[in-house]
Amino acid sequence: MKRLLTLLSVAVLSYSTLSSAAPTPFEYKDLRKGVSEKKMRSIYSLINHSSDNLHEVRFAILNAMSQTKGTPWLLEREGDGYILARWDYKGHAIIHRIEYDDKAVQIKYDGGVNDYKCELLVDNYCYKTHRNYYKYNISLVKQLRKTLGSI
Amino acid sequence: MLKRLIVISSLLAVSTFADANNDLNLRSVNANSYSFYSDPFKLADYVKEPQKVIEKAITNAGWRVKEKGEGLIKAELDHKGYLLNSTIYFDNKEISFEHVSAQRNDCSGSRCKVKQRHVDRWRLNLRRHVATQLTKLAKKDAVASIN
Repeated sequence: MKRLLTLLSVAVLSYSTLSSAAPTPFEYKDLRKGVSEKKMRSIYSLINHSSDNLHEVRFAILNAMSQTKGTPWLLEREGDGYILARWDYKGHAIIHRIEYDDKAVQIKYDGGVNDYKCELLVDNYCYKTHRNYYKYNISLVKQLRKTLGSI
Repeated sequence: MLKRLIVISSLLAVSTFADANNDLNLRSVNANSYSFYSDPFKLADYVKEPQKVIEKAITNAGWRVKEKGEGLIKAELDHKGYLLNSTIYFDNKEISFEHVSAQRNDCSGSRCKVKQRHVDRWRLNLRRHVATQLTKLAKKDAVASIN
């Protein structure tokens, strides 16, 4: 019985650790139908920062969302260590979960509307959707690097 | 009891190892499902006055407040020959939308067909203005938290 309880608690702990919201180094999977490693890394790689103040990091992310070229990203929801951001453009939408901790910030795919629904989603990284998805995210990543670099 | 514990443990253990293994054959994560303009907003603690947020959004989006009630605001858009009605519900935890009607008010006969793409755009615009207000509040809260 004791062993069983120990096993149960270890399993619960491992599960909660793996499913928690925190930036994790992106590892590219070479999938037959997926886009190139370069495109994937340009969105999902960790963006490191040097601030130990999470409020500063949160502010920098919110600023970056508003300062993208063209249509801004808007807040959908917030939670512990993440910001859910949505970008609407010409009848389609991308929803990203921007996760942050005391070392880095990372974009993860949370959902899409119409053209930007993911056809191949692995570990919250979208390997296949409309080609413009990979183009339109460049501005967000650029602004994140800029605002996080200035704190 | 013992049986149940065994089943739960094994399920969790399998799921854990499937995650840890990162083997693509084991699992692909499904994304969350979002709609074009009807998803509710879950509010954070710093949104103290959701009614003000909604009223500001309605005005900025070019809509007008038609009626106010306990926990709801009825909004109307009279624009380019279209008349749209939506009800926005709110409390301290959530803002949600009910798009009541969309009709043409400047025509007769076969020309009265409502073009859904226009309606979609104007409803989305209203929702985006609510999101803009929430983004502003989040920024204010972030600044206050830093200081």
